[in-house]
Amino acid sequence: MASPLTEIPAHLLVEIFLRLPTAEDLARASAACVSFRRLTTDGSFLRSFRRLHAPPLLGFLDYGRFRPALPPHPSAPAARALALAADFYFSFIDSYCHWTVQDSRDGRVLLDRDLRQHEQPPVFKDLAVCDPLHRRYVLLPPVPHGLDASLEPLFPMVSEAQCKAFLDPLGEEEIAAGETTFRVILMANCKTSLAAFIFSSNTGQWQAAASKGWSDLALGKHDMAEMSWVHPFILRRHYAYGCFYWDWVEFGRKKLLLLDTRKMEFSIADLPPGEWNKEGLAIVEAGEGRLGMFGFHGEATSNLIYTVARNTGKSPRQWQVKKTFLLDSGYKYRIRDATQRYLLLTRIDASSSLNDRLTGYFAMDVKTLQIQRVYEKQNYRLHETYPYINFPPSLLSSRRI
Amino acid sequence: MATREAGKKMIMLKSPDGMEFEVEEAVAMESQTIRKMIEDDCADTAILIPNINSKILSRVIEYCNKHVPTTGATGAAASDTVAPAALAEDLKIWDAEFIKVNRATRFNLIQAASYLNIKGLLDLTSQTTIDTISDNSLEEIRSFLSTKNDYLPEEEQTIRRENQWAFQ
Repeated sequence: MASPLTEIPAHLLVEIFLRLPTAEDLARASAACVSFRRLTTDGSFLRSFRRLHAPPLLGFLDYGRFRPALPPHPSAPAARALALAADFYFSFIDSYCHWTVQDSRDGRVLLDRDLRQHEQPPVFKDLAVCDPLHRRYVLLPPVPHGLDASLEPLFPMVSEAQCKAFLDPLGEEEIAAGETTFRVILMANCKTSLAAFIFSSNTGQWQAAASKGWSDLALGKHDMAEMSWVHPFILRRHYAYGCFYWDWVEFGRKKLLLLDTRKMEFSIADLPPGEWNKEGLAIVEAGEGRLGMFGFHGEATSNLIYTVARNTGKSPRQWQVKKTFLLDSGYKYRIRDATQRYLLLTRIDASSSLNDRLTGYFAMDVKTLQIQRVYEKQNYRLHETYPYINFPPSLLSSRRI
Repeated sequence: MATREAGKKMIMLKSPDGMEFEVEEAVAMESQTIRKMIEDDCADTAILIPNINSKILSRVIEYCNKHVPTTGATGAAASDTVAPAALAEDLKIWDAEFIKVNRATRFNLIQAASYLNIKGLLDLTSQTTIDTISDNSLEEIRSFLSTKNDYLPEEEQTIRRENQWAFQ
């Protein structure tokens, strides 16, 4: 009724709170009073809120450090606060200086440890999944001996890191539900075959998930030799709609290795046709179940092409160029990493000397196709860079990993 | 657009204080709640809109009248001559004027938009509150939303510490 309101009904507050633009605003509202907090921490409210809000890109992990998004990037205030509140040195883990970052997804970080007590590094390193904001971690148990018995002797030419561990991204529903589960996949590269093991926090156990001989994957003997020689460790990994992809574009091959995490099956797919530059490409989720791919066309990196599959499916055959971005030709660009939603690019001045290179980091939002600067620093290094996206699930809910 | 041509289906909306409003079906169907009633054939005669008095209901109808798509079967004349961008700009200006109401009316409009399920109106009416939460101190948020700090001191401390990142 039109009489002055003394108290706003809860269902209207819910309508308003759902429309708050960021998680910070929600946290501020929840600090106002007990009943607001009850509304904003309710499970079904949080599910709706997360469904309406894309997880923010807060920065990236690079060379063992967290680089928060800087102004004017819209995530800058949250990223700065995260950098102050979280511990990206992981000092809450025993002997933390021995751990190195392997992957980051959904606000969590996967670390592995090499104690360097052995001449030969162990095939399976210790693994831990951390929540740097709440300073919690889970040590993964070792892969049981029975499971790895099926592996043939690992390819002798690759002296270290025959195995690569990475996080399996949570599904949209799992993120919305604030699920505290996580999954880690361990991929082993052998001379004539590939194998994958999966750890699920629900069961607390490793399982042998997939294996396939290179000869069953590749097209000919030549392909097999060349593709198996290049360890997936140094290949760029992509993820879209339940599948991981690895590309060989850096080695001039137009093939993708594919791991379907629903069927747990390896296969090979073709890159979209075109002359893709080795400065990187990225496979992303283009919406409605269709794959999208970003890549530089031709010799220079000033033509960034976004091409989208005409049909759904994990290895589509028909692609259509959706947009061409004409980038400043005074710079050299490189795609560093991509998640389902964001693409992380670096940019360096083409004419400056190697020692004095100001590196700009840019993120492209795949949905809006907007490019925004995230970070800038001196030095240009070619090591792995992991976008840090979203707050760990334990932030908005009371449950912890 | 206001002329009611013969053959255009009209719907009667009734407020609890006894007022009746005759509106075009297309205008009433801006409300997803009313649309569902009409589609389910529950709207033969008049539809009673509970909890929304005539003053608020007439403003809601004013909003729907302005926002009903002007193409297709209803009132095609207006949109043929005006470019879509200009139309959108015009709507924005109109919305800004429309929402210049006092706080009580605004919350009544939010309530009406929520019950009648009119997304555009809900977005428009919630925006001021959203801006208040985004840009103001906790005290101002409390006063705007008519609530009091009822946390125990130690609870408040914990919450401030946990959510420190949101107060930078």
